[in-house]
Amino acid sequence: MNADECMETIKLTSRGGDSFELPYAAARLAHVVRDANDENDDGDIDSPEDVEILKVNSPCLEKVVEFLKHYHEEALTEIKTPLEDNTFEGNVKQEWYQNFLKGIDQPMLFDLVTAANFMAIQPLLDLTCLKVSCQLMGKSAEEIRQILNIPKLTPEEEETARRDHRWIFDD
Amino acid sequence: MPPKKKTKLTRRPSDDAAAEEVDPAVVNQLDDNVIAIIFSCLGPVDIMRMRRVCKKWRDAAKKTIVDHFCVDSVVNCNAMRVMATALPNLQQLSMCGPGHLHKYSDGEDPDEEMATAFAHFTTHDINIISNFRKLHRLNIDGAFMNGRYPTLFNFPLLEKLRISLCCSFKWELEMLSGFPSLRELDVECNRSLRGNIGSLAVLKNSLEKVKIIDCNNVVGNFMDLADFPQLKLLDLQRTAVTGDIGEISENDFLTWKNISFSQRL
Repeated sequence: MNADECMETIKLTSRGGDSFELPYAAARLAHVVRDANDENDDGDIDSPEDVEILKVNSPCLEKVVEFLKHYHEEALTEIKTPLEDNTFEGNVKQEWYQNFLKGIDQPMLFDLVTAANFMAIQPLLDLTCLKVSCQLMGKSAEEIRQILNIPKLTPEEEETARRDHRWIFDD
Repeated sequence: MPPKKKTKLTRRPSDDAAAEEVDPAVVNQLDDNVIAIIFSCLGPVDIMRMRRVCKKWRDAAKKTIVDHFCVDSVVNCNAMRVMATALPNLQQLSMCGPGHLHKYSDGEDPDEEMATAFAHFTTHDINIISNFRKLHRLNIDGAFMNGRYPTLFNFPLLEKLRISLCCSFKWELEMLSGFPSLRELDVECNRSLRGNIGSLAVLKNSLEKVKIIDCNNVVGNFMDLADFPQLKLLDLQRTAVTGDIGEISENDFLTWKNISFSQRL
């Protein structure tokens, strides 16, 4: 059977044991799902099976499944680099995808990045990475350390950085 | 009970979700390959700033595929010195020197500082460019190139090379053998370029576009390129290349779409 036309649904189960149901044809955007179902290069499968995603927690997997379902209906148009604009909305014009990441907190955003990477969902990885990139754009290292709560450099490290990057400080 | 830690952050009011206090573990969960993807949406100057954040981000920057950097100012000249080791995965490098800009008539040359910086760069630092092992495109436009720079002619992945308005840049067509993947060669106004067009035979299977214009020391017979299987465009205007159009048989130049020759034919 051709996986793209597969009408059956499967369940993805999170670390917390919650299951989320979706059509196999939508779920297979995640390469981890294809691999678990032994989908070959021609996209042929027998009968799709449920997949446990133990590295992803429930709230995050719920969000991922929401993405997969929608992507199957309306694919994300490719994000052009170099970026056209320095805002997320300027680069992602599709309203659904703009809203998808609107109002989510920073830990959830990073969870999504990690989940997209682990589940090998390229469009979700592109989208979430772009969101983070736009948050970082134009900010100084110190601002980013404060925002992301990263420990300060030791005085020696700071000295090296200043020496390496004198051109930034001169600017 | 430990004293309550008071953190006062100075931020711009426009910061949105990013402005919340975040558990450090959350940032640490991102692996450097993912951080490299995040960085690849940013310009080189932003990435250079990011790599100051911490060691992990510095390692991630090293893996980031950086699209394009243009050396066109004193600041960028200095930046490139660091970039050569900090962001080695650069895809495209442009060096746009002041050589092609006209001099200002009032005697004040606003490019003087830059000219000095470029002169210093080309004499002392140009070899660091060879650190960019993954370079795909190299543009040298009117840069302050004066002399021979053999280290510039060794990029295994280079696909497009453009060298224009570099009258004192001494090089030979034979040196192009250091670019085994070269598809497009675009050379304009290189009076100090020498060589026989036949030496391009080492790039026979990759070359799609050959444009050598205003290079009066380039010699040879264009028929040497007749059997290049990918070649679509050949432009040899104002060179010393010769050849007899009458020699072209129906099996030659099968893929060619556009040909311009020198007037000497």
